[in-house]
Amino acid sequence: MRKRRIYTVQIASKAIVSLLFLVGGVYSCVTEYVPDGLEKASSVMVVDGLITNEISYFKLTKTVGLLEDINDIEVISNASLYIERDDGVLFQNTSYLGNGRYSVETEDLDPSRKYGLYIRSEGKEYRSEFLEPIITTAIDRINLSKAAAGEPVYVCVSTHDSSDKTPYYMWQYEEIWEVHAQLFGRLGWLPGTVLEYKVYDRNTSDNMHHCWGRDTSEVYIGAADKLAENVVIEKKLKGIEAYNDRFTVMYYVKMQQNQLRKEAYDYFYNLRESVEESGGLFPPMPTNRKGNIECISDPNTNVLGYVEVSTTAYKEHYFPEVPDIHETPPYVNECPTVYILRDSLLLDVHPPRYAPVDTLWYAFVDGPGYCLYLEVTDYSCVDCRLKGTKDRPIGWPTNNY
Amino acid sequence: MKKIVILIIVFFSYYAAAAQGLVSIQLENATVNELFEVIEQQAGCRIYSDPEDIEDIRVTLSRENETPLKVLERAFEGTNLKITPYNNILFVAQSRRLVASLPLIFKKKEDKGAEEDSIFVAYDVSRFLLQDDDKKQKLISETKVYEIGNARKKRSGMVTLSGNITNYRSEEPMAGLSLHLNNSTSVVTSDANGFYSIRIPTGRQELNVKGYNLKDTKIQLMVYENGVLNFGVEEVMQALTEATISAERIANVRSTTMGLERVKMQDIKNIPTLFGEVDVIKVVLSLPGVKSVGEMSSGFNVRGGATDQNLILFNDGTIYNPSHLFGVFSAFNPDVINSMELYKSSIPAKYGGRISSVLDISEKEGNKDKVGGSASVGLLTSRVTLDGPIVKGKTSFIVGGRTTYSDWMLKRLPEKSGYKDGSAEFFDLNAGVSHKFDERNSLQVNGYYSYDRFSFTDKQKYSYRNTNVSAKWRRIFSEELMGSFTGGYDHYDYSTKDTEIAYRAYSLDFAINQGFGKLDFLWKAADKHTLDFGLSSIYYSLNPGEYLPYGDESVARADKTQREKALESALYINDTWDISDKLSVSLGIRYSIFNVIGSRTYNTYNPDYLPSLLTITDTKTGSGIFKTYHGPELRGSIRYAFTDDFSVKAGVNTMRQNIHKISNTTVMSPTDTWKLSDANIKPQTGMQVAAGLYKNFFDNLVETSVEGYYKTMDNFLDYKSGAELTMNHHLETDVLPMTGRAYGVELMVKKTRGKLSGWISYTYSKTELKQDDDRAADPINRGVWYPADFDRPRDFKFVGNYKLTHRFSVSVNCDYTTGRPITLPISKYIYQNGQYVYYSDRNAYRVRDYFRMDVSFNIEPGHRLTKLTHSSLSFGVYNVTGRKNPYSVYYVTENGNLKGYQLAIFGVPIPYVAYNLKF
Repeated sequence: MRKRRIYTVQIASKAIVSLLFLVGGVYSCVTEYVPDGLEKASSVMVVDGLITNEISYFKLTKTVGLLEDINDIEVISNASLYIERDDGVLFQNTSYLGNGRYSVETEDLDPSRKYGLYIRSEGKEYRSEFLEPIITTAIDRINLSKAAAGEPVYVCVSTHDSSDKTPYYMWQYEEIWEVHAQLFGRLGWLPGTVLEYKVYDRNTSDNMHHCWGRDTSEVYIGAADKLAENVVIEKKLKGIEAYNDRFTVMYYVKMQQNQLRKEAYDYFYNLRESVEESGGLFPPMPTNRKGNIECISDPNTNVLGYVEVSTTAYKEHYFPEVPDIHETPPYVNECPTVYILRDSLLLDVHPPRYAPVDTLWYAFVDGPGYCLYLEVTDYSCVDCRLKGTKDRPIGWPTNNY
Repeated sequence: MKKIVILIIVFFSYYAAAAQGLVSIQLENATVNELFEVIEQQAGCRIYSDPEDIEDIRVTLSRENETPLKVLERAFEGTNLKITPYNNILFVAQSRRLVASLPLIFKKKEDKGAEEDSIFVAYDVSRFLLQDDDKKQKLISETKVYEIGNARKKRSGMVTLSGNITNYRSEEPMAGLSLHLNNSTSVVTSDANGFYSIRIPTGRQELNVKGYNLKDTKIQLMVYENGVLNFGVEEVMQALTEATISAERIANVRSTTMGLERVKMQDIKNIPTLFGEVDVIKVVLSLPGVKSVGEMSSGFNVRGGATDQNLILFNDGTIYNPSHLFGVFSAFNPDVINSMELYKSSIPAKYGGRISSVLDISEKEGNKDKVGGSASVGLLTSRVTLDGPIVKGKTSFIVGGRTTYSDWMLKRLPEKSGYKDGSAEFFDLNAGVSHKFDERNSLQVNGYYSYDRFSFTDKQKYSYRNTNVSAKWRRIFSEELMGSFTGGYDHYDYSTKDTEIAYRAYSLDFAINQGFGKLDFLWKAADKHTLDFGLSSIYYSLNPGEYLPYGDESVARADKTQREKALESALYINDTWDISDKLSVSLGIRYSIFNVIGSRTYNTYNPDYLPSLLTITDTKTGSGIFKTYHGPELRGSIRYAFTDDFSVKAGVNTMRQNIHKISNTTVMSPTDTWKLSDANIKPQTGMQVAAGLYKNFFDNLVETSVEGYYKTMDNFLDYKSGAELTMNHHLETDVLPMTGRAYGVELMVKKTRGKLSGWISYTYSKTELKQDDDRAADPINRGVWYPADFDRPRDFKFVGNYKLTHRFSVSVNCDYTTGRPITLPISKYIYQNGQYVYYSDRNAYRVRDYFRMDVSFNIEPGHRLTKLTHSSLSFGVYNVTGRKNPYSVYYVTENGNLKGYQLAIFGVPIPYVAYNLKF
């Protein structure tokens, strides 16, 4: 059973309220759990990726102990891998991209052939099951949906195919959004100097006001197997709070879709289910489902992952309408500015604690000369690089740089 | 409900020496009840009186070392109260109530009795003696010799005495009373309808009758030939019922049956419970050998069996989902339940169809004398019951209903439970009519309906229903032969509606329908042989799933699985052979036949591989009976009694099961479905051998037992990971046959009477499973034995009730068990940009040990018999120590790291109040 977090309002009668007083307290408790005597699991290779047309990407990592830091995850950087076709053709144009990531050039996949992945790592050989490529249907539409004020915004995808083709799907998307600093800082400290500043230009990229955030989503799966038509309509992928930076100026999604065979879908589904639904009242029995990769040199060596063979369909979409759905965050940085004598800032630590916003020349009334006041504020108010980068995507449809 | 005492006592004109003990007493303006209490305590006698008579009297008294009689006489000097001693009892009543006439029971034989010279005086303490007493069963007298048969037709050797035992006042049948002759170790027990049949030698005999709330009674008999003795018994005045569970004070030693737990509802109402709801399933869970996965699970595991291996019968109908509200409550209204029997080991041959246990629950019969009822208001539910005569003395009815207002409790469940934002409601209804045609024929018709509805949101709705109707005709053909004919219809269905996403909206329905008929006979075939035999048949028709689009926008594909039909029949015969007084053997065989009925299509598979879509060799259509499974089930037990109160027993039984629960969760969930054996799914089989020692102490006041068992289970089903459980047209491809074994020792000490009553039990048991099919490519835990989910080896249970006074009592319930096994993640990894976990071997770890203590205080009002209503109040605390017993462990990603949490469902003390009203 799927349970959803939807809040419903119930009207309690007075009698029930008084019973609550009587009963008091919260019955159930959730307390932290640290297992003792947990066995030290041997590290197992994880193969993440699929064989697709043009370039296939794979990430090779290792499992870490349950209580270890996930950031300490060990990547495999010295594996050799290639893609095999069942007629003996090998695709060996492999590059290591760093951080455990590899790319293999595969050209277009031949639907009448079967493909598999070969890996050699740490003296062991692995091979994935040879599978015929699934030719993935096109994405029909990407949209955003928000049920009501206060509700999260979902990235949704729609697609359809002939109903005799596989009804299982996988999606992942890249997202880019433009984000602005809260205040426009006309000035910025010159790096390498002591309180020397420069003037920014809003109309060029020489500013700290316009930035772009980027992220890659998790992988989402969906099925139309219970439907009479092979159709997916506005499948909700990730839900994001409506006050998120993504929805302040301009939002962009590049969606990739792969159709999956049932075995792959079941493998991915099982992974999610055993994490999401464990611990409930009627939890499914947790299991380690076998993927389709095996260690061919040592059958006792375990390896995780399912290497699907499926072409990828892409669709991208800009959402200029996002400011309409954006909501005020629950906490707002007020960004007060103060005027400080420039010289008094000299006593400040280096680099300075405050970011300059503007200048104010003050003329002494009773004598010649001026003194320079600086309008300063917190960096987070003027420096958009805390929310993104200055890396403007090519062809970005706004006039901000 | 009927704990009111009525005394029509016959005694001899010479007064027996009354109480032996002497009394020293000093009272100032005390109530009479206080006076009685002091005397009762010091002298060890009982004093009965009509509360009305003594209500306004105050006593000031100071006596030293006098007999109770003297003290009382002194106390009531100047009043018109008279004291009449009888054995160890003193009656205090107004003198006008002394009736110097023969009571009705002796009218027929007033001058033919053995004690012809005795002068009888009837003492009518009660103003409740009914005038139309002729219709009622006679109250048995201990001082009278009953003649069985005609002296002129006197036979020698063994004859059969049978009859019905009823509650003298309410005329309800008295089930579970044990009868045995002096100097004999064989014992018979009255059945659910109060019927008994016992072989006895001719001549002068003394028959002992014992049972719950019943003073041990001796019946003097002069036996000439086969005969019938119907009689009524009085339930002893007990201001507070004891938390006793078994009437089998002697039966536990003497019957050949092992592992039988008999529970009478009125005896368990003081056991503290969650939210004050009296609950039969929770009581079952407090018995040794019964375990569950956790507090919110509705199923129970008996001696290592799975939750679907228990046959739950309610008035002979099968209950498929015995719970309300995801297992918080059982589906049975406690007010309409008379008693229940749990067979853990020796399962009588008349039962079959499940391999682990039988829980047989019977409904009360309505009072044939007057209209009464009860009502209860609790924190979560309210219920009302009404019963009474339709035709006085002949026909009676009982109706009961229960409903809930439990939404507020759901709000207090943890987020993780998934129910926090839900709403739920349930109700159940019971109705029964019983009719007595004559002394030999009676009919009982019962109906039961329960409904549960719950939703996580208003777009996801679930509901399930149990519906049962049954009729049972009982006939006594002769003193030796008794039979019953039962027929009925059971229905269970489950429905889901999901309209969360309009174009995917669907409804899913599942239903079991079964019609059944049974013939059961009991035949006293010969001196030493009692035969049970009969036959039964169940016709199943299952709708395994119907998936339909819901609403106009939905494009869900309508899908319907093939209806499953089958006929399960069985013939059985069992002989209980009393070889000697000491040695008794019960041997039975049940032959069960399961016919799979078409027409439907099915696949055949390459037998060298586990069934999968890749190994299909053919698709066939079966019509008519296209597959039959059949086989014998053996039921045997043997008992050797060294003495009256010490025996050893051993038993063996084999069982078959043809209906399987389809679920990949470890507990019974409200959305479980069931599947019949078919061409590809074989019946489950089970075997249990058990042996035990039984010894009673202190005149059967304390019962002790040690039972050990070894059990195997074969062919029961586990599910492949990712198995499609609903709407699966070829389930055999998603299941794996498993082998199980369980063994253990259960120790029990039970005290059934007295101020302190209850039991302590300790169990050590193991339950292990193995997937040993060679064809499984990747068997669970590499095909070695691993602990089942409900494998909780050490188990200590204490249930006790202590009577502070007649009106106040304290009950305590303790439960300690080893924590349940769980499968834990042992490592984690990044995959598809998310964090996932890699699990240990299945059930390689355990959660913390479980301990819970509950306490309740029970207050009964004074016994104002004239009062129209009678109320009782109990309040208590569930989980007094507030221990956070973990139910489950789960992991969530927090700030990029997995964090483990344990969930305790009722992790704080939960107080409750329950108010019960009887009228």
